[in-house]
Amino acid sequence: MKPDHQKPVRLEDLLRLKRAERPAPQFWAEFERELRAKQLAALVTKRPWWQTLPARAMAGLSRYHLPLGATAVLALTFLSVREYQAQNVGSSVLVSPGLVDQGTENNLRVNSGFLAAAPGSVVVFPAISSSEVAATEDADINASADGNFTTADGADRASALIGGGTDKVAVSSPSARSIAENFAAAQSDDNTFGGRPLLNPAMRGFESRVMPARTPMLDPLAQMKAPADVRRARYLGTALPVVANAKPFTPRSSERLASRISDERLYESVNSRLGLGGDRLMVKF
Amino acid sequence: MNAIKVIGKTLVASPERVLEADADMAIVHRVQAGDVAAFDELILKYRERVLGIIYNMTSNREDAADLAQDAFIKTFQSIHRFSGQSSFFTWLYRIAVNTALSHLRKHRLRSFFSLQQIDADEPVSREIIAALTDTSGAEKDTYVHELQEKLNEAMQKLSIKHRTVVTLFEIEGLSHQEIAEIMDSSVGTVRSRLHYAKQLLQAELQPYLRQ
Repeated sequence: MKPDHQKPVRLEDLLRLKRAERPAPQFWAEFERELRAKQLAALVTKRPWWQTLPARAMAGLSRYHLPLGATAVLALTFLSVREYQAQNVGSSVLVSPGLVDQGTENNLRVNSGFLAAAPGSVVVFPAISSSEVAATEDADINASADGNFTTADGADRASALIGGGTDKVAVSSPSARSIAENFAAAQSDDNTFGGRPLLNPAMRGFESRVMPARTPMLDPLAQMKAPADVRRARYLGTALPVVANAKPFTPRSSERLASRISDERLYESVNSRLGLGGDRLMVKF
Repeated sequence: MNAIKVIGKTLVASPERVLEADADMAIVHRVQAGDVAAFDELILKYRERVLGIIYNMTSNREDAADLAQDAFIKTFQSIHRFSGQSSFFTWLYRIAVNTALSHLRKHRLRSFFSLQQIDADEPVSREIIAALTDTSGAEKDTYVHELQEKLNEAMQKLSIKHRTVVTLFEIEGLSHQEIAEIMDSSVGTVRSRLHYAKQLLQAELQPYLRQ
């Protein structure tokens, strides 16, 4: 193979040779046919699912418009009624802690019997915040002065609750009367049913743990210290810390002090700092 | 003067191209107006060029046919968005080049040749082949086939972008400006790529070149 040396061959000439790479004429017939097929296929090509999903969902649900609508209305009604009842029960459960007689297991049954007897009735008691509830368990919660129920008898309390008054009133309605009778029978019973205890012994006293007692309300003015007392406590605070901390004019403080510091200890503390030397009083700092 | 002509050829569209663009735009308006059959005229007019671009980029005639069909379908599907800011053939070439680039990037590792026959009856190719060999018959065909393979091998050694620039400029005869529009790059970038690609091809095809 000897090339013609008379003509130069450049890179552009070689690349121009590639222009001559052409398909046969029959190729275009096949090309045309395939192109038509692809055009038709493009028309019926399935779109991605995220584009067709809303349309398909609406088309699928169109057959069930009436049942779905009815179901939605029913569900809405059910939810509304349920919410309304939940609100009623919630307000009925708001029972004053002062009503709970601590230490008696009958109280639990009284309250539950009351709630069971009148599920739809709304009884609103003065709400008592937790700050008002005393921590001491031995405080007397039967404060008759402010109109709370004071009786220890659960039947009387139930009757008073059902009667709607705060005084000891007679049972007026037949249902309240029957509830009171049932309660009295249950109280006189030995808390057994068919030889089995009605309440689990471990559960007894549950109400006393759940509902704390309420201390009697104190007049805020009575809790205030007199300026003279404050001044005196400040003066004595440096010399006699123990005496200065004592608050004899405040009943609660004196009780707390009495419970914590015995008189003997107090006397010894004061005596150790005070001394009599002839006609002089010695104070140790 | 000659340099100015070259610059003018590469930067400014020729009057034939302007007339061609106007005719294309009229057909596009017909298609946009609902005359779908008018799109066949555009296919008939550009199918060889589109196929040639894609074939020279892929060096595989089956892939080239498929990709050219895909490019025409994409063009048809989005022709209602064509506003005429560029000429139709620039827009169509861009779709074809992007289709080929996407295919080449997807099948980067797969490269095998499926070459078309060189039309030896064409005057330009006949002249070049005659300059390269003084033989005839089967020996000549073997030589041409070998040269064709070497050419395609050298092209495939280029990067995709360099190969595209060489294809559009040297084989399809587009100007730098048109290539820059098609490839969405600057004219300087096109020139730089073309220069670098030609250096590589020169080195690869040195045995077949004669000064």
